Amino acid sequence: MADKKILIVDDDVDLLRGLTIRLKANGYEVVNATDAIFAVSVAMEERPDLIILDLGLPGGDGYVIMDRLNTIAGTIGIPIIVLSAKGASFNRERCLKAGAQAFFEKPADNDELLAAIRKALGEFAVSSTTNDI
Amino acid sequence: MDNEYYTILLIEDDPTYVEFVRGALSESPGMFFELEHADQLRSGLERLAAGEIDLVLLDLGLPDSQGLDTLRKLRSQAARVPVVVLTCLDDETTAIEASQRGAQDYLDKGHIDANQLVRSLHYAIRQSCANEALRVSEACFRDMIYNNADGILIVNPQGIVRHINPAAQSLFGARAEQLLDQPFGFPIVGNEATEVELVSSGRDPVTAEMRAAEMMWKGQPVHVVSLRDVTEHKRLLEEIEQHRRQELQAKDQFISHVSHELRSPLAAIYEFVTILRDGLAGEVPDQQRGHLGTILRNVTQLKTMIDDLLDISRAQTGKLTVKPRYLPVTEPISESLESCGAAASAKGIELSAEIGDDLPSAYADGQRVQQIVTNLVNNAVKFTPEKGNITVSAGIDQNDPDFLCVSVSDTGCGISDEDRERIFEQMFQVQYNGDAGRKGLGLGLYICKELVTRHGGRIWAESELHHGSTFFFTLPVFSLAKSVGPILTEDNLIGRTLALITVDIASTDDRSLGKPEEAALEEVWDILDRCIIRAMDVVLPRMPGRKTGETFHVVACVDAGGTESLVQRIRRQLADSDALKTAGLAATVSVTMMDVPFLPNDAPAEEIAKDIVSKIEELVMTPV
Repeated sequence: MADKKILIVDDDVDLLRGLTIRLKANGYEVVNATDAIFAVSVAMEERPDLIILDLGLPGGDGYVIMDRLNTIAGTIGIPIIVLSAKGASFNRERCLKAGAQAFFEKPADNDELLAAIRKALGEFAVSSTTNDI
Repeated sequence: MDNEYYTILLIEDDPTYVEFVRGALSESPGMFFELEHADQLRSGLERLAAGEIDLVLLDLGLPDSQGLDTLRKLRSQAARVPVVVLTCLDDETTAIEASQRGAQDYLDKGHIDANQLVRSLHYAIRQSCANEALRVSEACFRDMIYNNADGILIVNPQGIVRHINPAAQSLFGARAEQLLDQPFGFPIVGNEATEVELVSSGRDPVTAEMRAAEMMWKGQPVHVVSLRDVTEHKRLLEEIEQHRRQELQAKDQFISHVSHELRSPLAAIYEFVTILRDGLAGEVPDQQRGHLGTILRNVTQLKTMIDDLLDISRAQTGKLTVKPRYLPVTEPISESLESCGAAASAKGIELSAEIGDDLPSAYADGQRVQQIVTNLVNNAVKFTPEKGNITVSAGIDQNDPDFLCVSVSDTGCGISDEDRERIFEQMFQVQYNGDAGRKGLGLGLYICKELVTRHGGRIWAESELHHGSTFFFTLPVFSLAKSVGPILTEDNLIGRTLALITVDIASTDDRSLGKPEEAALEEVWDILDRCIIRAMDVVLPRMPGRKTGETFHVVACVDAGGTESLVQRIRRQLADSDALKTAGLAATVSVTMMDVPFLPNDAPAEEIAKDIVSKIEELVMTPV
């Protein structure tokens, strides 16, 4: 079976690079987008199995992207995990209501994030042993 | 009056009598009278107008005036000067009339000797002085009320206004005649300042602070009501408060913004440090791995500080919320111990928990309790030397069985008494020279206190310097009675019956529910809360459901048909919920009708309520 493809949308290129290394090391194929408009077109083209989405982005925030993806036939139903520096208290519920599978506040613990990815992809969840954060 | 030196004006046309009076006055012991004389009323009045007359000795029969008319004429010119009337008429009626018209005394020329005359003048002057003093004093008090900047009214026991000063008239925006003998219109509360709103057409309403005191007035008990215009004062206070809120809001926005901006680079640092440490960028020698661990530990510390900053800002703007529910406290405690375990074992500290058997559950927010315990344990780890012990205990609060008490005790350096009083203050930091490491922001315990207080509990510390500290906090015990009690009133129960509506939420694919579903579950509670009528129904706090689901309960006081419409409303709203659909959850609604226990008429309401609560408890707490 081919590697699952994950789209990371984040305008912080350092984090983007770091997360890409982390996810690739865990056996995923990774594509990137750094703004809202590009994010939607990459999603349509690449049809990723999962999207890791930042909220504050140039060209439209994460909520706009979630709305757009939900109206495009090819991208409806792609699981989304929000990874944002914005406060959880105001955004977690809003994101989950908008259809996100999970919400993580930056910096997110690697193991927890990977567990959420596996769960969203329907993969066997490996219990995490170390919590860094 | 002190020198007892008086000027007397004698108005008398009989020279013999003038001489008699002069003689009588000159012989009076201890008093000096200066006698001035006029033989007609007109010349007498002229002299009187010139002033400095202490008393008038007035003959009623004068060439230019006769009888009581003489007194009337004199009084009309000089209202206050004491007058002693002289007459030849031995007439009781005239005497009484003269005193009614303002004469101090009445002397019969034919029957009076020098001594009596002097005595009479003396008393007339004295009495007049006393009257004058009283009049001045009364006028002074009247002026005090009349000129008072506060509105003052006298209100009789029937609530009718009997007296009102100009300030009160302008407060009411009405004239005295519109207000006098009318109902006051506001309830009078003694000994306590209350605020009243005075509305009058053509101007903005005036807010007045009202105080009332009881007193006797014209022989009846009345209220003296004073009204002070506080409109401007209140407006200023509101302005200040609004300003304060705006400032806090701005500060909150600033802190949110800053923490947001801090998180992004922190996330990148975290990511790359872990990439190095985990060897994703090549083999790492042990020593370097150790250094990376140090970086990581500091990243964690920074993240905690950012979280604390946000919490503190929310606490100040009232946005720091706790969402209490049925909570076995072992859950957050074990999670805290797990997350603190690594730091403790790094120092060789033994971390253990002692939790009483059969401990009732708390009514608390699990995440917040975990935050409190984690904070306390982290502090303990920081201040406890290597190979020490930290114990987290939980039991019933010995002072109040309605509370649980959780404690974190360590074998650390302890806290001095004076520090102990201040450790829960914002940004207070204990001066410590040991190896406790970096101090942090000094917000942790303050946040703990805020969170515990929002649960209705309290937090405190006991300590012995150099031997260790114990931090305690209390949380309310979960009690159905407290939730259901308020609706079990006689009014609600008469002619109605109780329905227990159970809403089971389960995932459509039988998976167990976790954090991702939490938002949807909270939405369920909100939906139920929207459907009920607060005075008669209650949504019970969330309680543990089946392993793969969650159960909600509504207790409703309903009459015939009421249950059906309530259940339909709940079903419809749950079916419309996008949150449930997105989370892949389905709701099943069921109803259990409950008999309201028929107890003897004189059974106290609490007994009935107790009986109902235990029935609900039986139905709700039975494991499914």
